[in-house]
Amino acid sequence: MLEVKCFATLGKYTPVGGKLEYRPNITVKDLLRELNIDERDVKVVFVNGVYSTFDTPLRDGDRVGIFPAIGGG
Amino acid sequence: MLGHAFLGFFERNFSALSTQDQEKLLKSAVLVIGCGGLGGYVLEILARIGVGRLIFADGDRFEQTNLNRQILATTENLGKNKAKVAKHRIEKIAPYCKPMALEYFIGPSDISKYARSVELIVDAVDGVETKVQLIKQCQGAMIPVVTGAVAGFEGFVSSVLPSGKSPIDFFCGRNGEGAENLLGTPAPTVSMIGTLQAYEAISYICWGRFYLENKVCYISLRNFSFDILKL
Repeated sequence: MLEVKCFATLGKYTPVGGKLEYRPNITVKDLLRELNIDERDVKVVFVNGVYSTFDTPLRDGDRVGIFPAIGGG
Repeated sequence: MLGHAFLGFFERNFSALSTQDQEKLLKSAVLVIGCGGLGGYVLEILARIGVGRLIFADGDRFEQTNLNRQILATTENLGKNKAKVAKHRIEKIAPYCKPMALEYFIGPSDISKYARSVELIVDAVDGVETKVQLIKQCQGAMIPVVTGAVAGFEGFVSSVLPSGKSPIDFFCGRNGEGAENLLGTPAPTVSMIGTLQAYEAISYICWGRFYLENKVCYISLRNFSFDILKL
């Protein structure tokens, strides 16, 4: 199982209950595709609280945070 | 030693702050860029805690759409320059503080100039593009900068050292493309992020360290989550 949280304008893509079934050998990029998120809208991804890229491989039990651009003040 | 004239002002900072901490604050100087949403709260807190010299810049004027969140905006001062209003406020609440208002949008040459006379810079500007430029300019001028941003009921803070990691990927794109343009910038988030930025500044001045160096503190009030993320 993956724990997935999408933030700000991407919030609507958070899977029900924040969980998604894990499929072996997937990367962040595959996860975005599975969630129907346009890659261009994603500016930052953290896996287990650490800055990651679209190519980062995911393991069962990983926590993934997905963020758009944010700059209000 | 703290002058007796000002002791009463800081009595209720004690003992969260020691006398030595208070003296460090009084001798310190901070440059705050932007006197709107984040900047208004940052200035309020840094003035009240006892920072001795505050330099702040904003070329903008208050308008009605600022009233939802900007502590310096009132129905009486619409149309007035934000930095000018900030100066009047600081003079009223912190007579020990020397405020210096720069009533224009500052550029790279100002940042290099003031970087030499302040401990750190606080990024309180609006818009992703402007933020990237500012952080790069601060790193180029070898001065630490505490950045923060808000979109809806979410926001984050990060402290950037000259050679440290920075959260500029959050600021990818053009001004107008950030999530705040869809989700707005409500007062609870703006005041909270400004408060955390001010605390990071206090921590750096008093104890020589940022908690959020190479890190981001991302807060979502919608589900009360506070995450510390490693850059």
